[in-house]
Amino acid sequence: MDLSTSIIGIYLVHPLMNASGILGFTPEHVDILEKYRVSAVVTKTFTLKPREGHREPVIVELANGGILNSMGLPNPGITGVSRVVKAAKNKNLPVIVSVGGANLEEFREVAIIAEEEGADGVELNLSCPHTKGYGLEIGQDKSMVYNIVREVSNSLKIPVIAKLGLVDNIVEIAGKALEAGAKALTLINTIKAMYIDVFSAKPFLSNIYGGLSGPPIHPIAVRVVYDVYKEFSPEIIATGGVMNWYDAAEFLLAGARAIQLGSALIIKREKAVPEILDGLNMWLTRIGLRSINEAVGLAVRK
Amino acid sequence: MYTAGEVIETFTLNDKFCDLKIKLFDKLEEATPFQFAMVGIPGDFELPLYVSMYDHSSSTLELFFKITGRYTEKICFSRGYVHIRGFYGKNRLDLISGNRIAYIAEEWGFSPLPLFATWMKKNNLFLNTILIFTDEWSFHNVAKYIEGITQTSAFRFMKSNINELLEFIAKYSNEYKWESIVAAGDRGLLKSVCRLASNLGVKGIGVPYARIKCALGACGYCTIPRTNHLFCTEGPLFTCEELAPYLG
Repeated sequence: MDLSTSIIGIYLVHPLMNASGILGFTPEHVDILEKYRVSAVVTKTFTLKPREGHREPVIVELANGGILNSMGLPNPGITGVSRVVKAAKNKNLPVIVSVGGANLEEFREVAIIAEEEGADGVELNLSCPHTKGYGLEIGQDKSMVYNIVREVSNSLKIPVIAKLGLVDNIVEIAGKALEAGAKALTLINTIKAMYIDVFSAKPFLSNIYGGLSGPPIHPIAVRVVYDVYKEFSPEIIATGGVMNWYDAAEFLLAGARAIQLGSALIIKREKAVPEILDGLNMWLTRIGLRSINEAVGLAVRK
Repeated sequence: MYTAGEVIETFTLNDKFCDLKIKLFDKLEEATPFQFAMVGIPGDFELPLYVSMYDHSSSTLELFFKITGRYTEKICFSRGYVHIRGFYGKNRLDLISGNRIAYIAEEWGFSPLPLFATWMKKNNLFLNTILIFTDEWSFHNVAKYIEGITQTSAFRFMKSNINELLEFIAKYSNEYKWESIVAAGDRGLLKSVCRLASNLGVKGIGVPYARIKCALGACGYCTIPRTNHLFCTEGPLFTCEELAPYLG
């Protein structure tokens, strides 16, 4: 069974990669991701200057199976990009550098450095829901999304992916990103949420709000992928609560060509990718398809 | 898993060491030696602390730890509710081979001892503890406390006398017939003990110090440098071979 796919012109032996934020800022993390058998490495979001991130508590596992995090984009700054990209290249792993910024200029500068260091593509983090001034505050403004994607796309030769979050006009924003030159979309980022500890009567996270990920957001992510694919048929990397082959298959049918794993890698670690691939293999055979590509968007076309 | 708990008892051995008992509102899974919990005040702070004891039937968690700064002090003197996330760390007790074990620990490494000693006793294994202190004041109350828990005399060394400690291990390894040496300490200590264990032909196991942020294996902050090991999901116990790239 052919489980290969391609995204932004990159050939992938299979559709599963890590989501940004799952490791991805040191060469040691690339070793671990290789151990996890991802088909490509997506780095932690790099910003121009190093960021410490929010102070703890920054993460909590919820009883409903979700994870709420408010890491705050900690990263070593642009000086960290080179080591991670080199480590991935040494292992012949495609590498997509996640780029963050508080303004257009910062996005552009970090993206240029990623290209200079050898990244195969950049993923613009336009949707982090828990870091003031970054991410979702930019990503819900269609003009800002358009301008940033256009400016970065015009500055680079390598492809640009726009990672979008759940906003009311997500389909419109997706359209703007594509119009501006994004070669693919990553849908969706974590969803802004919070958790209150009922004994201390306080929000649990130091930042109050966090991004919800994991199984609870999966049906929402499937809907977004479906709606965007139906409208524009773009290349989509889907992410959001994939825990097993069934979840992955849903995303493919909704229109995704590749999938990023977050919670699955946290919980199942090196078992996640092989288990999902085995399941996809079985499923494709069962429903009479010969490749991943034949499944992409089938639910939309039907 | 996340739960809240109420501090029911606090005992300070001196101004440096604290023993805290917390009644959890939800049962967590049984704890195994060297597992840790993320403990804190919601919205305020959170720290990784080794599980010193956990009584599953009464959901009572005991944390014995060194007060190293503002947050450990706050936890020690906390009244009311705290939050607990846990338990984290992998059960790798199968790394420990033989019946006679030496456990060498710097002060932060004293915390897992009560649960470890209980496990040793339950499995009819013999434990010698070698405690490394940074000052004489911590020494007296804490050493006696640990001797009470482990039911054996604790050998005591000052951190400034590491060479003396290594000579002691080399000299008495045969007499005490240690088959595994577990060391919890900084890189220098682990490197020396691992080298010594190898020379003596005994199993060397290290518990390195690590920075913990998420404890879930996601953020990567606890990666053991120059290795592909995550402290929170694969540790805290590692073989000397696994730690070799880090130890240098």
